[in-house]
Amino acid sequence: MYFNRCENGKRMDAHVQVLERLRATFRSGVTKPEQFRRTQLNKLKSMIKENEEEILNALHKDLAKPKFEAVLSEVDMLNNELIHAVSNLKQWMQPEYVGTNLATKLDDCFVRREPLGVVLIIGPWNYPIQLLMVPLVAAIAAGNCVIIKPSEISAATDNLIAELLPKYLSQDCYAVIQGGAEETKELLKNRFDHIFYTGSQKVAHKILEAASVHLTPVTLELGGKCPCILFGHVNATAAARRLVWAKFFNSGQSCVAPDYVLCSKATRDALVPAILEVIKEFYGEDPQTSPDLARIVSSAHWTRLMELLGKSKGRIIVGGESNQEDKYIAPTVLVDVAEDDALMQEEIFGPILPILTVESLQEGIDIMNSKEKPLALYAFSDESSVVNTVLEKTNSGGFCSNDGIIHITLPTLPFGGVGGSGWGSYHGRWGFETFSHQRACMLRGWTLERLNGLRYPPYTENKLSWLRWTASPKSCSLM
Amino acid sequence: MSREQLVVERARKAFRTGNTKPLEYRIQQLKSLLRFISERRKDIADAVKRDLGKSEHGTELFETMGLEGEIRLAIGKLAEWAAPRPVEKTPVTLLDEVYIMPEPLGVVLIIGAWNYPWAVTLQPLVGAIAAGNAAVIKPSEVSSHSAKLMEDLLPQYLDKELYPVVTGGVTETQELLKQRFDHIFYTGSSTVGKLVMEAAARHLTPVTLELGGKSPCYIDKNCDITVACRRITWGKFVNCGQTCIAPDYILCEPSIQSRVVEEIKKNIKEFYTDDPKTFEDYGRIINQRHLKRIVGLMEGSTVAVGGDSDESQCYIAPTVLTGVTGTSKVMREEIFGPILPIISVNSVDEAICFINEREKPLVVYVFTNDNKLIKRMIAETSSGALLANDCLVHFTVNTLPFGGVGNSGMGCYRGRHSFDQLSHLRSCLIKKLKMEVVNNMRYPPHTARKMGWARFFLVKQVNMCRLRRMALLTLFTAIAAIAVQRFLRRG
Repeated sequence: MYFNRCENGKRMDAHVQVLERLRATFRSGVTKPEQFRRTQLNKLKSMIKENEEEILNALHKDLAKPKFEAVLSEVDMLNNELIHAVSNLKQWMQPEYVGTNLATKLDDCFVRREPLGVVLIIGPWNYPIQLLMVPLVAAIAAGNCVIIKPSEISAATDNLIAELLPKYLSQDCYAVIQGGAEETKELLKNRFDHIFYTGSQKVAHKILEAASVHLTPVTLELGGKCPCILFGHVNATAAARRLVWAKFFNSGQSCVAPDYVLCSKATRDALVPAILEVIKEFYGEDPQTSPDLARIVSSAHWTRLMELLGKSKGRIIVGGESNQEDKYIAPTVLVDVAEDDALMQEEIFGPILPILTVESLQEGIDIMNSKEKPLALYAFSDESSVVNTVLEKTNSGGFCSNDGIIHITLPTLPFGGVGGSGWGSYHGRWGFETFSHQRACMLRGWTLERLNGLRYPPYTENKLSWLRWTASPKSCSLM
Repeated sequence: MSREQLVVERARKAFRTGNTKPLEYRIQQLKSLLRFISERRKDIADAVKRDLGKSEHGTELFETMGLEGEIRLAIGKLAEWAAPRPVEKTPVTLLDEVYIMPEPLGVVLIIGAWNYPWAVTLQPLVGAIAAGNAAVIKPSEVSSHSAKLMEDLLPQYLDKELYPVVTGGVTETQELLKQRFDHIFYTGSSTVGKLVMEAAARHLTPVTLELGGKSPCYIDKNCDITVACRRITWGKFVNCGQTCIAPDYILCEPSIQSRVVEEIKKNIKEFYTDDPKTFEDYGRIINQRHLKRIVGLMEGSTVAVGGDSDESQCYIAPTVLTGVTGTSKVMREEIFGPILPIISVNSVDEAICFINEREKPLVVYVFTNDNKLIKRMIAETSSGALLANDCLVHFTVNTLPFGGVGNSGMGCYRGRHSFDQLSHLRSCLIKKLKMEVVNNMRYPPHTARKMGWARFFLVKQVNMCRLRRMALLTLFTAIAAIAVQRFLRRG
């Protein structure tokens, strides 16, 4: 159901109506059977397949996203999650039988994954299809009703989703609500059974505050400065190619883009010419004319980035060109960037790559550890000891050595942050678990009531020693 | 700097030394904790006796036995839990290492409750230590003797910088909650749970909330009512009903109500004698404030069994109420006391409706011979857990996750679940800088041909199971063909 942006009090009522409708549907139990979930997921698959052109066009309108990037990182990622969910759904829904001790050997003990109810998914603007719909796949697979709130900043995609979703999915179970910050604030006053938010830390605080009023569990997929350290013996050409690809994909507007680089002077001297070479190879002499480079999403973000660049005391070795009307910023790399530089104070989220020089691996690790735990952390080295040291001495949501971004394409790895970069995770089965309640079930029989006699008062030493034995996990080895 | 700020900073500093990372260290601390319980068993029992009037055997049964089991499990399984967990790969990562690495979070805050002051405070601590964290332990001030003992003795067994005990009341807890933690584990009421979550929001700290609720208990008329009532009586009056998973109220058809009352009355007498007040194995209410609250709940209902109380002794007799409806005073909040209301419902449909009109509880109990009915209860209600034909004992199965849903909580613990809850499961992809040519398909300038390859290799899903099966089948067929050939040649 398409909901127009309403005014003040009417807005609240409209939200309440949608929620009540979804809640009533959930209560009817219609979303629980496997067949229903599978059907909805297949319809979503059809929606993507039948409207791929429109989706690519909307993404191009919002971010000038190159078709290649849009297909790989938006459409295909979503399709794969759908295929993965549909083929594994039956298995995920199976009760999980658990081990028991001697006292409970004859009982049925299992964990059941149950839907939570009505959940809210708030999407961001940088991957407006992937980051909104992949959680949706998980929420549907888990048997919930869902309210989807796309980002208004990626307006073309926002409108397209609002138009298409109701045509394919059950309108009683899934609703799109559009709007900006005010509308979202109103929406959050309502009670949900889970809130899934992808975006900034600043807004995450508000989401968590709103969630605490109703004791609503949340998943927060946030950002942070994802560091990329290169140390020891490094194949500079290969490293440069992978680094440049990961950094300038979507013009650096990825939550897992390498934000800044740490390396020794020697490595930097080998890396810099390689980076220059690769940028030219990928985007040509004039990247503004390359169809393979996205644009900044809005004027406001373009201005933020240009201001950051202006304040930086680093030396630009490539790039720096920009065009406000086109929301274009050239792939830009700076060296001699200090730790207290403007570019090091906040997540860049743009096509600007600062390179900081460090004397030792430990210095690099100390710099990384002085900041909030990031969503991803990258280490490039031909020496596995370097990679292992970085892995052991740092913390991050995810870790990838000798490449960037690619670790999030595996549905078997949980995708999520830690500390300032977020709470919870998803992708594949992890998403299914996020949107489910793990309900412990124990079914006892009526026999062996005499055994129960051991636990009833009056308590005696004799009874206690029997109980100690039956409740121990070791007593099972007798069986 | 406040005392709380100092304690947390010291714990963080101690965590940063990396001492908690090696498994040997964690096991050593867990073994010390085990020693603490066995060496100080008497002191712990005395403290609990003074806090809750519980007998020594009662303390062992409901506090220390479970705790010891949890510690032994963690010691035995730690290597398995903490090891890297390999996951299935995609075609493009076949030659890479792909696994999930459990890592400590940092400094965890554990806020305990007063009803099982040792079990409920120290069981999460077992998980925190096993996962390699530092932990600030804040026992409930309401069970003051246990809190004091914990503060005095725990530092003699555990590292006092990494696992400090901070005692105090509301003010001290609020001060603690202003500090930044990497996880907060809270056991207590939903009201305070909201405040804890709100405080955690300031630092985006993840929380585990083990809250409460009114756990319903449905007795089907087709069941062994004698045995059912025996189990329910035990489950209800353990710790004087001050158990988060105690059956809060009973739902049953009017035709069996008087039988249920009789059976419970009989069991109360058998378990707690004619005079529970003087009986060692019947406890007390934690304090007079709670006693007054619980006694007040009886208003408007009929006392069928018990009903008497003694404020000076914090004593309330095991009590059964009838004439109770959905709007009675006793149904407005979690009882958390030795009062068992019985509500009449005409059918299981009505019972399910009644349960679903209310907040999701920590556990739903159902007593019946009919498996179909159990299945219905499971399918049509939602709760932290569901236990059929008994009370409380699901807590003893440490492979089952223990936690609530909705108002009864978020997150879970026990056994491996504690370890996972208090760890960060870090996704790791370990690649080499070789085979760079394979990556060419993903780099600009983009062409239609590259796109085709990239779509196939980079993101495509392959059913690895099917691939493995096919590979095995091929291998088997080849071996069989060779074997048959050889046989024929010989023949």
